Amino acid sequence: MISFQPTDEEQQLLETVRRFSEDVVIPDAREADVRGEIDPSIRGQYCELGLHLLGIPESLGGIGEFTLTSKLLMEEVLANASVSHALALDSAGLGAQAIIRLGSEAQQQHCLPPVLEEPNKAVAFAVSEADLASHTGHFQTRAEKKGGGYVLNGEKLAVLNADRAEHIVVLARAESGSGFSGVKALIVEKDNPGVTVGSRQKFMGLNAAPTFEVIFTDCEVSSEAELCSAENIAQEIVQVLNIGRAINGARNVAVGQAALAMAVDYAQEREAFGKKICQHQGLAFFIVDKEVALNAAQALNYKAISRVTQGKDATQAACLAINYSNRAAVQATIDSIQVFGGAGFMKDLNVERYMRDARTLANVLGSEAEHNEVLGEYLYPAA
Amino acid sequence: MIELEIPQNLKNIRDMLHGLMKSKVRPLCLQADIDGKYPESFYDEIAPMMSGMSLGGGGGGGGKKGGGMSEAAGMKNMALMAIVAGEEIGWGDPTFALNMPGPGTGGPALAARGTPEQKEKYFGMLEGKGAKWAAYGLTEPGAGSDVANIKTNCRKEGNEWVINGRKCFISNGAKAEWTIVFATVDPKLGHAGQRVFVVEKDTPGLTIGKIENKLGFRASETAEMIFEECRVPAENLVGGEAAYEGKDKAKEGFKTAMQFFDTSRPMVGIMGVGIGRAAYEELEAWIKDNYWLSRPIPRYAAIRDRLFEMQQKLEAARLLCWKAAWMADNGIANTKEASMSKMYGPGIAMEVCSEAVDIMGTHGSLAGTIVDKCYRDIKVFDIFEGTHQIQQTVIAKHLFDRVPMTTG
Ligand SMILES: Cc1cc2nc3c(=O)[nH]c(=O)nc-3n(C[C@H](O)[C@H](O)[C@H](O)COP(=O)(O)OP(=O)(O)OC[C@H]3O[C@@H](n4cnc5c(N)ncnc54)[C@H](O)[C@@H]3O)c2cc1C
Repeated sequence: MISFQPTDEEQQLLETVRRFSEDVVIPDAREADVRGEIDPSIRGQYCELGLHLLGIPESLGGIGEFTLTSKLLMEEVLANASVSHALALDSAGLGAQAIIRLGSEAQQQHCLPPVLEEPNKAVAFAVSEADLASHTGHFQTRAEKKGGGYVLNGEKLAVLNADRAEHIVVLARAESGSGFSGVKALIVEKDNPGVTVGSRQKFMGLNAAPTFEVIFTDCEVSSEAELCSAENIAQEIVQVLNIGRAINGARNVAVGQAALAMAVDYAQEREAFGKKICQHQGLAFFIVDKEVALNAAQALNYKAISRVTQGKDATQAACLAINYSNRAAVQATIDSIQVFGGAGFMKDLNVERYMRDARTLANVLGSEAEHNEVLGEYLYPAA
Repeated sequence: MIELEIPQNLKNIRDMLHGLMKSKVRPLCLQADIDGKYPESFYDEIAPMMSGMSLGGGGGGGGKKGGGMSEAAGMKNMALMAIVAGEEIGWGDPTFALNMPGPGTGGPALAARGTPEQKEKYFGMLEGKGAKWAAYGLTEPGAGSDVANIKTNCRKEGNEWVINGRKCFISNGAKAEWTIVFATVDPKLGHAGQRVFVVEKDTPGLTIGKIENKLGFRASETAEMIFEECRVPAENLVGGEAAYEGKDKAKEGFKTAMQFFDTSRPMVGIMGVGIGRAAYEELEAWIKDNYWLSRPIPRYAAIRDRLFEMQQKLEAARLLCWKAAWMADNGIANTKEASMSKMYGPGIAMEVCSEAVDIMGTHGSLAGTIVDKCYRDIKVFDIFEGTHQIQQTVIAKHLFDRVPMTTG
């Protein structure tokens, strides 16, 4: 069946999120970008609306009628207002998805309730490393077997919300193997003496979404730390990343749309050479191209997340989606500045923030080459 | 004979400038980007080394002293010299060009159109001790690309002109000793109604409004200038009254605005190339440092292909700028080529910067790096000195020469 129509419940939800975005997020967006963090009171309001429960199964405290697809739709609305807020508010995020998909019931009960009950707590997900190949499983972070557990050594980059994380889910290589086989997902408690949440990393954009370096030095974890209840660990890890790809793709498309909406609006107001600038066909077509790309990208994200929701492997769909979305979003934000001319370059308008945010977000789950590499290994597995 | 090698004298200038950029400017530029300006030490130590070098698009400028590097290079290839220098400056820090004391953007118009007395007085004003600048004020809140449509007005009262209006996005507008200001006696007259003035810094009626906080190009001051019954002496009308009289002279103001584009546009184009090259070099070095160990070969091939494509585009853009400059130096009309270089260079450099950020992954978008700065700086090169779309309209007019093409 093909439908692009959200369910009735989702439509109601999106209405709520739209109001929340307008009343709460947008007024804080520019200030938060300068301040480097969101207004902390927003977390409570977000949780009061139950938005932190989307994408969590009902059995673990989520809301039954809402799936990961609902979560993606919600993230689009939020990211359209401020993607920094969308990320900073996503306390459960991919860390929680990893625990849901790969964890035992005991692990789920241990890790999830705190984040679902307490707005200021988070589960972090540590995947990126200095080595760009990390997303295909070429991790420099090692998990060595010791006793019943593991000893972790390595350095992770750009770990979102690590400062307030009770638990950090870490991907590390334990045995040799291709792709993600031999990679372990381990839960590290925040007060483990072997883990150091390093200094905050500052990026070009996403200024209000705090990310940190996380360093593991002879960090010992017990056997209970290993997320290994899924049938095919490697495949489930990839599926967690696929969820991230679809959702970040959707977030970035929303950033591009926010920028382009401003440009479309402005092009119908601003005059040059006796016409509205959109009446210069060269400029109209320039804008139209971005509109088409963003729409195509959005459809790719929907397909990817709907496959996840249906329990199907989403690797191909998600890799196509994130790369196309990132390209479309980055270009839309760059070109929206162009439509504004000199004014677009100034911090008085949000377009310049969208340009920094889109470029930064495009790298959050890895570069284009990394997703292509994953896709390559999936489509043409090494003999 | 076709030969695309930089002559030795320009190579020397390039190498000297590159050294200066690398050893003196690069180490300061990231902090200057945060602060929105260069430290005093820059003006004490570095700027004097550059004195006499005119970067006003080769269209003149330079103090009465002249000399310096332009003389060393020989006057035959002034435009090419500016292009070769411009790439190194773009590479080092593009705001360097506008931070360098001197007539800067205000120079070419005064040099070409000013009366001898005006040149004597206003170029002279910038000489001597201490860093001094001039500026060029054309853009207004309501008119940027469409310069015929400016609303800042001027009327003559006795021996004075009275200016009212608002200029925005003026580089060095707040710190300039004087600014070339465009105004109109009657907006309905379009270009024909325009008059060009030199307005001195502390003229009553001129106030500096907002200093812009920008995405990039941050170490260059961008200011708003407000004129309220601002009175300037009649002798500050650039070129004098006679220059605006009679049928042939009707578009004098507009010509003053436009005539330097043939040299300034390739200059902006090549600075864009310099920025792209800077990002490219950072990327290449990073790949060499980070990619060997765990890299599967096919993947490296994919990255390598992208590097090659970036190289192709940068080189093609560079050559378009060289060609436009070569034409200018040889007295060949180059309006189309100047626009092509301005359109292509910054356009592909934006792509190159974005590719660099992408390929470097999480490292690429870290704040406070050269690549981050390049990504933020490059965008404006597709906007000022005629936007991408304005270059396209110019090129289209040259390309489709059998039917009338309008900008409107
Ligand atoms: C950092 C910075 C420094 C600057 N320094 C100076 C300075 O020193 N002095 C000065 O005078 N100005 C300066 N400017 C201003 C700059 O020259 C203008 O911003 C530029 O000319 C564009 O004008 P605008 O901003 O009004 O955009 P607009 O002219 O309003 O253009 C808006 C959009 O419409 C498009 N457009 C316009 N006409 C057409 C058409 N016919 N067909 C298709 N598309 C069209 C444009 O390409 C653009 O995308 C500076 C700007 C910046 C950002």
